[in-house]
Amino acid sequence: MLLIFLHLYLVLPSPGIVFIWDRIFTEESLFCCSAVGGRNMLLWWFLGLAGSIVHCRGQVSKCDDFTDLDFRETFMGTNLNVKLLLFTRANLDCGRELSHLKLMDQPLFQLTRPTAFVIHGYRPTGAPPVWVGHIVHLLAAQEDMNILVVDWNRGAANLNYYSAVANTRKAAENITAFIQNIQENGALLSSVHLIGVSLGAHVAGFVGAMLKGKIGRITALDPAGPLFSGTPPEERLDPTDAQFVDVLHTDTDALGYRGPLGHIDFYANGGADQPGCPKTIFSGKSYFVCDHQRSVFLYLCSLNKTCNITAYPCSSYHDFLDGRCLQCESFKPASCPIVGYHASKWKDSLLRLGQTKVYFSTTAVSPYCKTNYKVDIVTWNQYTRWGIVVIKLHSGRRVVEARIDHKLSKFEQYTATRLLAQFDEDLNPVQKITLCFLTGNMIGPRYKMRLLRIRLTPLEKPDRPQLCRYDMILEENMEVSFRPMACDGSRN
Amino acid sequence: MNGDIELQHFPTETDESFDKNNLQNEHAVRHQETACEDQSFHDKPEATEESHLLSAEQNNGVHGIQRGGTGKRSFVIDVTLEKKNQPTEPEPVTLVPERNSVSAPALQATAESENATGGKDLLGRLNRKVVWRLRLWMIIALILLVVAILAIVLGLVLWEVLYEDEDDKFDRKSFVVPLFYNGSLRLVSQDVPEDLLTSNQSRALIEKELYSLYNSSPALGRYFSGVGLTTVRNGSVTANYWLKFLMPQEHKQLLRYTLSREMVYNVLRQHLYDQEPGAGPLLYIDPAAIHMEGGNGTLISN
Repeated sequence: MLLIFLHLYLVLPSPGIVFIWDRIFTEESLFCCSAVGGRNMLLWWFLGLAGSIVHCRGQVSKCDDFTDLDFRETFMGTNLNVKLLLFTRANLDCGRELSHLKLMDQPLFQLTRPTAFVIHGYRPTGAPPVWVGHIVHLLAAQEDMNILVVDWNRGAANLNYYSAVANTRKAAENITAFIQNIQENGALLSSVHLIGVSLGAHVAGFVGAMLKGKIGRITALDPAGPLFSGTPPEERLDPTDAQFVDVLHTDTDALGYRGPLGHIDFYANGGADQPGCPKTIFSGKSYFVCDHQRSVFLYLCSLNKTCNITAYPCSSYHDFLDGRCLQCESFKPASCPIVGYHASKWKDSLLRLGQTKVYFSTTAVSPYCKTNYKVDIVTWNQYTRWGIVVIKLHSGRRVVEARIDHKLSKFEQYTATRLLAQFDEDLNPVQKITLCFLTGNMIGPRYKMRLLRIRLTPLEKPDRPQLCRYDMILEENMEVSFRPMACDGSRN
Repeated sequence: MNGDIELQHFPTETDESFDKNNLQNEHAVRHQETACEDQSFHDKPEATEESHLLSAEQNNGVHGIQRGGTGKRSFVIDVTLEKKNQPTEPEPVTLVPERNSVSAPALQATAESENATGGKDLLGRLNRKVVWRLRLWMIIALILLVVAILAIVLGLVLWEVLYEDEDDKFDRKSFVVPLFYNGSLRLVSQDVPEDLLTSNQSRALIEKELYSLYNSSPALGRYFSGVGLTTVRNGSVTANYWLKFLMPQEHKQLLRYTLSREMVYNVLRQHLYDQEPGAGPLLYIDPAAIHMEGGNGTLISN
C-alpha cells in the first residue's frame, strides 16, 4: 500500500522527467559500464532534463524515428532511401530528419559544430539497430556536435545481402552530396567524423574516397568481410579515404574483414572469437551476430571511459599473448594507443608509423577491460622446463587469477622468460601473490622450478611499483604464496 | 529369430563404417562361406576390409558347426551361447595376451594347429574348474594381469623414490673461489637498552640470523660460507658486515645471476620485509637501511 503511494508520489509531479531519467538509467546499466561515477551520472541527469524539456516542446513537431521494417518487407526487398536523423545535446531522444537541401530549415543543425555520421550496416531483419540511442547519448557527452544517424534501413534491409551491398555505393553518393552541401555552407571537412558499422564502414570509405580523403576521421566498427575480402582498395575502405582511419575488428572469421583497412587496426581478442559469445548454433541468432556486434559495444564502452583498454602493436595475437609486444617505444612519451573514440590522440604518431595492427584482450562482459601484467621469470634449473603458470593476486579477500596457458612456456637457465598475465579485475594494492607451476604430467616425480626472480610489471599503471620476489622453489602443481615487495629500483 | 540375434551382435563387432544397408548382403555372403569353412581361412590374403569382420563372425560360425553342426539356422544361436557362457575356444588367445601384434588370422591359425595336434588334452586341463566357476585359464590370466599391474605400480614408485633432481646434487668441495659482499645495516631495537645493542650477545644474534637465512636459501645456500659483523658503531647503531661465498672454478654465469649483488641483496631485503614489525624479535634489521656492495673475490676491509 505504502509502495503504491510512493510510486504515485514519484510519478505525479513530473511524469516526463521521471520517464526519461528511468530510461537513461536502465540503458546505461544494460549496455555500458554500470560503474558510472557520480559526476557522470549528474551530467546524464542534466542531459535528461534538457531532453525532457525539448521532449515537451517536441509535442508540437513530433520526432522522426528510425525506419522500422518488418520481416515481410525485407523478404520482398527494399529500395534505397537515405534519411538523415539529427541529434544534438538539445534533442538527444528525439531525432529530426534533415533535408538534404534546405539545411536552414532545421535550426538545431549548426555548421560551426563538428559533425559525426553514424552509418549502420546490413539489416537482415529490418529492425532498427539496438545501439543507436546509446551511441547518440555517448557521442553527445564527448563534445557538443551534430550527430547524424544515417538511416538507410530501406536499402540495407534485404534478405539478399548482394542487393544491400549494391546499395552501398548509392547510399555513399547520397551522403557525399549532403557533405558537399554543408561544406559549401561553411562546414569544415576535417571536422567530419564518419562512424560506420559493418557495411556502413565501407559506405564511409566510399564517401571518404568521393571527397578525396579530406574528411577528418573514419571509424570502422568491424567492417564487413563478405564480398569485400580480397577486393582492391577502391572497392572497400582504405587508409586514403580520410585523414585518419581507425578500425576495430571483432569477427574476422565470419562477418568481418580480416586484413588491415586503416591507419590503425584494433584486433579484439585476436579479432576472431570474442569471450562470452556462444560457440554453438544452439544459441540461435546471437551465434551469428555476437562477435560482430561486440565491436559496437566495445566502442560504446570507449566513449563511456569507465576504463581504457590499451592495445599493443604486434605482428599477431599469438605473439601478443606471448608477451613479445609489450613495449610502446614508438609512441613515447605516450603509452600505447587506447581502443575506440579516443584513439585519435595517437593520430600523429600513427600517421608517421603507417599501417599499424594492434592487439588487446577483453573480458566477457562490459566494461570489457582487462588488467595486464608483464611477468619476467629467471630460473636456475640446469635443465629446461616447460609448463604453464597460474598467477593469483590477492587484495584483502578479493582474488583474481590469470592462467597463462595458451601454450607451454619455456623456462631456461639464466634466461628471462617473459609472460603476459591478464586479469579480469584490477586489484590494488596487491597484498599477496600465489604462483603455481603446471606441466600436465600425471605420473612420475614432481618437478621443481627454481626461480631466481619473478617480477610483475603493471602495464597500464606505470605509476605503480613493480612487484618482485627472489629465490623461490615452485614444486609442480603446488601453490606457493608470498608477499611481494617493490623491486629494487636501482636495477630495473 | 535368426535375424534378431545377428542384429544384437553386429553393433559390437562392426566398425562405424559398416553400412547397415549391406546387412542383407552380408548375411548371404556369410551363409555361403560357412558352407565351405576351410576355404575361408585361406581366403584371408585377398580379403577386403569388410571381410576381416566377416572372418571373425565366420570363425565363430566354424566352431558352431563343429559343436552343434545342426545347420545354418541354429549355429548363430550357438555362437551367442558360446560367447556368453562357455568360452571354450578362446584359450589360445588368452594364453598369449601380451602379443598384441598377432593378427586375427594368425590367432586362428594357432587355434587350428592346437586343435589338430591333440591340443585338446591341454585344453581340457586348462578348462578344468578349479574353484567355484573359475577355470584354470582364467586364473592364469588373472595372475598375469595382477603381476603386470604390480610391475607398473612398482616402477612408478621406484621412479619417484629414486628420482634425483640434478639441481639438488652438488659438491661443496669443488667450490673454491671466494666471493665477498660487504656493507652496513641498521639495527632497530624494541625496548632493548642501547648498550645491549653493542654487546657481543646481540652481535652473535644478528650473525646467527644472517647465517641461517643465507644457509637455508635454495639458490645461495650451497655457495654460502660465512658471515661476520665487523664493527658495531655506538650511537648510530650501525653494523658493518661481510658475507662470504665459495664458487666453483667455472663461475662466470653464476656470478652474473645467482650470486649477483641483486640476488644476495634482495634475498636479505625480502627476508626482512617478510617479518612483521612488532611481531618479530626484539632486535631486528631495518630493511630500508641495508647497504651492500662488493661481488669481488677479495674482502674489502672497512
